Amino acid sequence: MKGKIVMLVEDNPDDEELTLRALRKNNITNETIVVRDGQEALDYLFAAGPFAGRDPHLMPVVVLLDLKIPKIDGIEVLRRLRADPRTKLLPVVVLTTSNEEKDIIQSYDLSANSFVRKPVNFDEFTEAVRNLGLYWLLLNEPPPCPSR
Amino acid sequence: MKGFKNLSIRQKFIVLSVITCCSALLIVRTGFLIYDTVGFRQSLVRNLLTQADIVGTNSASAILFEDAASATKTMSALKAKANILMAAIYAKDGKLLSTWHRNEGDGLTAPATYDISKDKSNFGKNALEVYHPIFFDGATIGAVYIRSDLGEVRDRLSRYGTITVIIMFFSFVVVVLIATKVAEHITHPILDLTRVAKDVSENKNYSVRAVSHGSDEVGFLVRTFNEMLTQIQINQAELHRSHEELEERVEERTAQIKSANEEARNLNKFLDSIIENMPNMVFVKDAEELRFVRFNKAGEELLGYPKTSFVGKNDYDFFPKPEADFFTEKDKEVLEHRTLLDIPEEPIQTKEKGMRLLHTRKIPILDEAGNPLYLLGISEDITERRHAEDAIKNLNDELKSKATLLEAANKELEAFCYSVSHDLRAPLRSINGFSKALAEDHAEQLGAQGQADLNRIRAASERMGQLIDDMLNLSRITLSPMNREAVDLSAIARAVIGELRKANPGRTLSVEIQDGMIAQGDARLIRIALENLLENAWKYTSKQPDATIFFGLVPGMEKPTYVVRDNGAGFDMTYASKLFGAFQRLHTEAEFSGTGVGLATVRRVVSRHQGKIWAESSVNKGASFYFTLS
Repeated sequence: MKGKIVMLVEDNPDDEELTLRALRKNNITNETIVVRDGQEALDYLFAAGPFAGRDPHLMPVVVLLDLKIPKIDGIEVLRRLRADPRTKLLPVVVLTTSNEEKDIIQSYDLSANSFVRKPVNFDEFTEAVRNLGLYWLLLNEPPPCPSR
Repeated sequence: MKGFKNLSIRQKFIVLSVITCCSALLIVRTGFLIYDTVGFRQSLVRNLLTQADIVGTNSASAILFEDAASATKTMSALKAKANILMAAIYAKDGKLLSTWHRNEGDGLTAPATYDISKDKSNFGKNALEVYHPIFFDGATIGAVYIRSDLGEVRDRLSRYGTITVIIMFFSFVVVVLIATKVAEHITHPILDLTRVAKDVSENKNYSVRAVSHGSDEVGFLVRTFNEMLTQIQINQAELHRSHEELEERVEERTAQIKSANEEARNLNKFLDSIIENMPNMVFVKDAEELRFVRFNKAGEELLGYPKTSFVGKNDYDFFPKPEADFFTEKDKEVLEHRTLLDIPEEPIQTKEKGMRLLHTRKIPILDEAGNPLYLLGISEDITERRHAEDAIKNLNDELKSKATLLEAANKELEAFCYSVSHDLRAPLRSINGFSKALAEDHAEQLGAQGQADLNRIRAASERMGQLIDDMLNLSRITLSPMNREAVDLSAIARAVIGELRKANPGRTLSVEIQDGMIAQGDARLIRIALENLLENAWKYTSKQPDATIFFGLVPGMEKPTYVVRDNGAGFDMTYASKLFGAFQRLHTEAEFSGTGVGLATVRRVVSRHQGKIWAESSVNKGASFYFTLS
């Protein structure tokens, strides 16, 4: 589990805090990169803009992507990730408040790996985060780094 | 001669015979007369010469002695001859010696001198004069002159004439008799023939025959005539037969023509009545001058002119010039291209109905060589239809604009729902999450009361989350598209009950679901409806020890009507009208939990299927929910 980075794309500081708290409560201590809008997420993943100096080969094992985010919305971020060979296979879990059928379909259409709705009940939310951590950090075998 | 021409043959024959006979007789008699008269005259001269000789001989001595008295005495002996009127004696010197007159003073004279050597006779008008020399001893001594009248000759001629007349008369009678008889023989066959010919010519009787009377020319004529009649009779019979045949054929043909005419008339009548009874205006124009040839009743009624007034006229006689120009132009187009022309709309000025709108088809009627003879037009009055169409179009436009509005409202609602699902839930999550964090991180400071309060906050936030979800679900049922297919209600109900049993393993209740309930509808929506109804039944029988749920068709209903029936808590029918309203509840949360959206959701599903839903119940006697899916 060491060295594996989790990326959280979340503009709501409450949700960010609650997510991090849930991760902590579940003893998931991996490094978590938090970005607050779509542009920042893309910049980080493609090592561009403010993240230009970053090692572009260092990819998170999973991206927890909210859909309703500023600048570039979650669906567009997903589209661009899937369009780029570097991030085509990157595991992306859509973690959002909505359970709109339209969002679910669009996400899967763009090859999202999972779609998880954030429950209002924090206990349920914690449970969901725990399951996600368990699955993506322990069980799941990440795709090989494309250019390595 | 003219009269002769017109005489009958018989008369002609008789006349001819008489003329011929009399002529011959007259010629013969005349010959005889001439001959007789000449002979008589000669004998008269001879007789006188003899008398003169006797006188001369007897008076020789008187001459020698120039005794005149003696000479006269000698001459007086001539008294016996009654015809001698006068006598004279000439002396040797030729001088008149003596004269004798039968009647003194008759004025007759003898020539004074005469050449005594010559005999001489001279016929005068009424007298014969004879001179004769007197010989004595061989010498001529004087001459005698005797004058006789011609009474004897006249008498003789008169007798001769009388006899001739008598002979002529008798000859005439005999000739007439003979000629009549002979003529009878000659003319009888001709008359017979004439009579027959007359009969033939007047009575057209070709069966009569002339009687042949011999083998002469007439007999030959009669035979030839009879042969001719026979030939004519044969020809006549032949003619008659062919005439009859012809007449028969004419009659037959006439009958045929009559029946064909009748047929044509009937066909014409039939076509006429079709044209006349067509509900559309039908007109025919001649291709040459585009004048109306025909107009039907519908056209008459539409245009308001009697149809007979159209015949021979053209468009310009009835319609304003721009209209007539348009019609004529289209007519010419049809006749030039020789194909049907469809004019979807053309305005026309009518006499009594104002401006009308026509849908006209113009069709060229061609002869065998493909040249246009007529132009057939069929026009439908589409004015009313057009008005109706306009009305429908207006209505449609109105509907469209309403639909657009509705669509915009729906879009707005959708956006609103989306926003609600995100933006209302996020703060709730914060409230719930941080309440939990507070309870966990500051349990000691909060104390039991503080913990309980935080729990209430968390419960309230959760309930609100639930309300938001239910509200969203309700709106989605209205907004989601319908996908109609055959849906097995029985199978869905069994699956729902199966899930409920799994989720509540402690409940024992009898569920009866009728088999084979298939309806047309949206499977997803119907499942949501059945979930709500069955969950309700499940929920409201939870306090019933021997709970039963029935789902099946209601027998004897006009439309397939389904019922979900339970023997649970039921409700008071007084509030039945509130039952299907959103967030309306007839029980407290403490009695039975719920948001009051379930039945509202069911009603939306049913109404989206054009169905109906109603309920029957009484408190603690169970409830029955009926619905139809049309």
